[in-house]
Amino acid sequence: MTFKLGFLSHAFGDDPQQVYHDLIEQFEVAEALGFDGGWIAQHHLNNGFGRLPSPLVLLAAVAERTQRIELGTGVIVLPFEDPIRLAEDASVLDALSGGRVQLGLGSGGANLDNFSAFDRDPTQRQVEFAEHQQRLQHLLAGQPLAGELTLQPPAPRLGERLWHSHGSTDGAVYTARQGNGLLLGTATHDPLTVQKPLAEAYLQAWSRTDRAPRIGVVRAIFPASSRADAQAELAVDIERHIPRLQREGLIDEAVDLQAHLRLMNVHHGHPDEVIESLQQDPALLPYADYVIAVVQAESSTQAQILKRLETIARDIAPALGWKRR
Amino acid sequence: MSTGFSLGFLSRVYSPSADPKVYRDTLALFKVAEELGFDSGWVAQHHFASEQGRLPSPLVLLAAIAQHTQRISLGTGIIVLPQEAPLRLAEDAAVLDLLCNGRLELGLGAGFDPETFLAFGREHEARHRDYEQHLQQLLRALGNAPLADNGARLLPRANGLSHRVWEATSRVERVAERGHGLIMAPNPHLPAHAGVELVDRYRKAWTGDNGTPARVVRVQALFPSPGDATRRDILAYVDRQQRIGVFKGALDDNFDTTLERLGILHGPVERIVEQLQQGPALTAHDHLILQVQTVSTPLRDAIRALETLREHIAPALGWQPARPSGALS
Repeated sequence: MTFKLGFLSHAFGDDPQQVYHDLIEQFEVAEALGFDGGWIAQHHLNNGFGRLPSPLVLLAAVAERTQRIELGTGVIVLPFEDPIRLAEDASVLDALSGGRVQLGLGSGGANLDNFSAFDRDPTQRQVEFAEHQQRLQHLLAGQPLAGELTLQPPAPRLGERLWHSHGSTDGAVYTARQGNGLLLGTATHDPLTVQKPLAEAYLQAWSRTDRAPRIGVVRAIFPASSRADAQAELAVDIERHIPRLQREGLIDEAVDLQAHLRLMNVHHGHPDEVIESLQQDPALLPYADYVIAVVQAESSTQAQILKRLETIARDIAPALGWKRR
Repeated sequence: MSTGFSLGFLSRVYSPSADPKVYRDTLALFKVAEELGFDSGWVAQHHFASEQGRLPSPLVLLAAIAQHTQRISLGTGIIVLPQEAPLRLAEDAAVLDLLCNGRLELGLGAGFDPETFLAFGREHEARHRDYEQHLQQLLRALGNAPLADNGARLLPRANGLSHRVWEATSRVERVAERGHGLIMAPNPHLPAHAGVELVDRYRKAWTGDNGTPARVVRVQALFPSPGDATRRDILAYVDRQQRIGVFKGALDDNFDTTLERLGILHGPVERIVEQLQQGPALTAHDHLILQVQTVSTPLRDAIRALETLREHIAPALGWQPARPSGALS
């Protein structure tokens, strides 16, 4: 089975203007390397670590600098969005980019600190996710609002390029019933015991005959000249997450770097080691229609990011069955 | 910087169909305008293609335009603030402002189209109240104030953007008190000199508390030689404005009288210059923003109109273009 190859950025960095400049360059380089898509996470306000609250605005700039690469959001925090305005922005971007948008949506589980600033109730986030997502789909399908007005510009095909990120089996089943793609791979979800069952539940619940199910799997992929080099590049950034993971009850106690890398599903080392590690991942190749690589940690330099993209496209993805289009 | 005043154009991104070409054409017009020495280009927001305006997402299109231009200011004329989530708008505007190196001019208005308020599930009658509330939230975010009990603030920070906010409203004293720019366009229900009085009131109420000068955008539609298609477009526009209750009263059968009533300038260049001279006086901090397109105007005609403005009309009003970028002083 072949798959599409993408990368995902959380837009880390100190200077937002430089971060945006670097992101645009990453898309240009990735397109030249043959990547099928680039995905950007949405992070709100200054209490997190990502620097980009407006992926669709940035992707409009990217659209003008690229011709072919798909423009993904991984993910937009849907409870904070007015579904009409989101549908309009996505539709304009889709028109500008020649139909390249892939719209990933989430309920804001990683943004719990920001619900009060957006005047939303975090306990209602799943309900609001479903309401907004169904309204979004209603609009994209050209269905009328009160007063018989319809979405302009129309984007009839964009409804086939929606993705959900969910952490529960119910969520995965819901995604299938809505006919949308499933995004897997939150850093701390164990591939065997969490992600694989989600993928299975999603595929089992899929019943549509007019289109195929699709699963996107996000994986941290950090190739280097050796395992030791990869770990040296990653150590600072991995360790800084440990207190948060403990606080959120995701790990019991800090152990060592090796264990933390395993826990966070970070595939790293010499390209041959990375290939082997990815092949053994129980929730990746058996399910992924889209393999989405995270190649940036907080302290990664732009040169490191571009080098990792190159190694993945040239040495790693082809060995896993990826075919450059 | 140009001398005299700033010269700009306004595109309402009109098109008879939803063909994405209207976005490429608008982008092309910005590039031409920048080459011609225009100081600013502004795009209007329309939801659900009301008036056949095809752009609901001005900040998305301006982000694309920013990649093809270096110097020209990128304005919204206007964003319908009651229909926006103010914090999301602040985020999008702050990101765009970084992408275009501080060239964003953020024009805001309360909107008027009852049908679109219904579709957004908002009360048309409450739009001025909603406008005020959303404006306060937007300004808090742009001003780097804490937005919740946990002290969260806007990121990226919107450096200087709160000094580039413009308001289109007849409540000019409030605009002046807030230290914002005023967007004024001809009002068909008021005599022609009403615009001059409005600007006078705005300037009189200006406090200068935020360290910036009073500033006015004067929007004017202008068609040097309106052909049949332009005439049809204008009449269709007026019909719609009457139908939704924005334009009140009957119109004269005479087309020229109709144009005059609407404040649309037309005729020979000398006459247009004369009419422009009768409006509010423009200073170095003000913009003259001209709309030269109706629904069916082809791109080449829009470009020709910008050239006429650049060569014959703006210089007669005292405008001198900016030096080409990179030129030495």
